[in-house]
Amino acid sequence: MQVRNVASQPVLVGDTEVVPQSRVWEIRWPFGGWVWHRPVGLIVRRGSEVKRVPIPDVMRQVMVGMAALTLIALAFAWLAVQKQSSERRV
Amino acid sequence: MAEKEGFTLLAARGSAEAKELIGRLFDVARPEAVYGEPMRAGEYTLITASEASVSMGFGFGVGAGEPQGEIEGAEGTGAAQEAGGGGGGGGYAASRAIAVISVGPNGVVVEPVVDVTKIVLAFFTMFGAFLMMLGKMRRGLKG
Repeated sequence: MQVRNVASQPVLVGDTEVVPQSRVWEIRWPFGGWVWHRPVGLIVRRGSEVKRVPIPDVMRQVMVGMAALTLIALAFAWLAVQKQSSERRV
Repeated sequence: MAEKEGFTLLAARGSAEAKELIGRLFDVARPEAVYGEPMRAGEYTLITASEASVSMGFGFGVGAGEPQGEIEGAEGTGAAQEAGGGGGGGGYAASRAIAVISVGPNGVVVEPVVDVTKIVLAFFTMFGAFLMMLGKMRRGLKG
């Protein structure tokens, strides 16, 4: 398995140079493999100024957030049901 | 014997072809797979950023051997060899747009791609799953 950062060809627009960056996750086995490649950010050069601009994956953040909220709500519901069950026994 | 050799050759050729296919799988690791060609429109240049995921696997097997016991009709020729083989494979590929990068006089702007339909569908799916689990918990409490 390996994780590596990859830089794409720089794009020159006027006096701005943009170097797209991405991250590759690879798992190889004898007769197969899995690759996940996603963009992570940009290196922006304008004159002497160099800055890194991240590329947020809003959809993934929303999906993970909703899944986490659902699990938390389920945990609370389970605790409430357990409490109700113990009160009934008493 | 000749059958066994034939199967072995077939397996070796299949293995070589499969390995070549697996090698091409990792073409997804090239930068061009996630960043599109820059599109120029007036003073602005647009670059699309996507996520790509590919998975592939295969397997195969061959075997040959002499059957145990006598075989009717095989007198004088020796016991007939039995051989068999099989193989299978599968894969998965997906790509999703993440953002559009705009480079212009105002600088570099990253516009995330938001699929509202997908969010709404996911919300209803998770809400439904939550209600189902809650119902099961309550039935367990009563029962």
